[in-house]
Amino acid sequence: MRNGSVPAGMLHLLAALMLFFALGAPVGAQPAAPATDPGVYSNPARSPIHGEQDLLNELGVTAMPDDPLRGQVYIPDEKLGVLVQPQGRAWRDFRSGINPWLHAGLIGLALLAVILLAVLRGSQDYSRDPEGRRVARFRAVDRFVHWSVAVSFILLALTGLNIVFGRWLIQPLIGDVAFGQVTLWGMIIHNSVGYVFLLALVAMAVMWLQDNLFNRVDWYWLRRGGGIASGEHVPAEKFNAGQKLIYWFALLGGLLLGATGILMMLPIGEIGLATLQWLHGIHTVVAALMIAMIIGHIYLGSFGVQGSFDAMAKGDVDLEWARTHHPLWVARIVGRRRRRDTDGAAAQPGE
Amino acid sequence: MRMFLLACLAVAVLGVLANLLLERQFAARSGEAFAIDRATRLSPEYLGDADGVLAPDIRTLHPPETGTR
Repeated sequence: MRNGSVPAGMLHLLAALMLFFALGAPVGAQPAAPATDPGVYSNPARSPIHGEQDLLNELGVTAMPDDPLRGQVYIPDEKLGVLVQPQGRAWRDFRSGINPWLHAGLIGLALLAVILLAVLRGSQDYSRDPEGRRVARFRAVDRFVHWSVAVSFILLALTGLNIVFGRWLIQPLIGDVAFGQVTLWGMIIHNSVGYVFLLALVAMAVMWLQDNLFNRVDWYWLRRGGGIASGEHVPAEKFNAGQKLIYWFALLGGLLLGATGILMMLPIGEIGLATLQWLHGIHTVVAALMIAMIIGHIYLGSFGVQGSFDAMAKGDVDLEWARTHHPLWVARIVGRRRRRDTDGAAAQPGE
Repeated sequence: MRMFLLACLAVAVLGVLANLLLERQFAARSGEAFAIDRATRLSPEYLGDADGVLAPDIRTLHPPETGTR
């Protein structure tokens, strides 16, 4: 390259730019392609239908019918002939509009109740047994199964709530790609852990069934409101009526969640679109109710009533705590032990 | 809290097993149903061409392995 001359590379670039603009000019002069209106239903055999009202006029009806609006198709897959599925609109409105508010409302109410309890009543302390005696409340297998239910439920709740709220709460924070990955893995976890939850729930239900049957004591406990407002300790057996209600609600709700969840995993052709939408509606409403209930359960089983967390953490509780909260259960245990000791002493040969 | 840790482990192990044994079965069934649906749509009967005259052209335009229709 000589000094003062234009470099050969620059000349090539200039030529390429000129060619680009020369070729691009006629393209730019062309009128823009008409925008595709998603509301227009084109049909070569008749004039275009603009929007829903035109469709209704064309069909000779005044309002969208409740049943799916079907066209005529000459193919084996008849479901492709459905033009409008009104239930799908109702489901979409529910899923995108009502459902997040329902979840937020129920969870918000539960949190508000917990905060009110914490502020008004504080953490309920108890007097310890002076000799430090403790009484076994849950066996290792009880705690293992209970924690399995708890861990799986929390995983299911978090991954489920991501589906309900993630688009508004998480996606703006972590971006589209990361949110997509999180949601995909969340769905895999949700679909897999659901079986573990169901299995553990049924095991827990079977193990604790006898102690959760309602009797006259429970009605008394319920009439007194569990002593929540008055602060009194209403007599209870191993589980008070509030715990029994949680047991039955968790069992029935969990079974409903499991059944609807498994059915939703079936191919859509086997259950139908309308059924799938109903299943989703039931699944998500029951889940919201259960999450709200479990928030209260977690609070009362930990910070709300001191000493109660020991039952699930260690398996035993302070004897005085047990006498305060579950006196009838302690009386039963003591009576059984006394009878056993008496029987044992009577069975021993005299000296 | 040993039982809590044990429960975490059990949920993880059983969750993976459930995924391998059950959840993927559902996914496979869904995939199978989708594949059957797709094959049906690409069949000559579906296309209103029982003689199979048009089907090869359509298949060329929309090869099933690309997932487009």
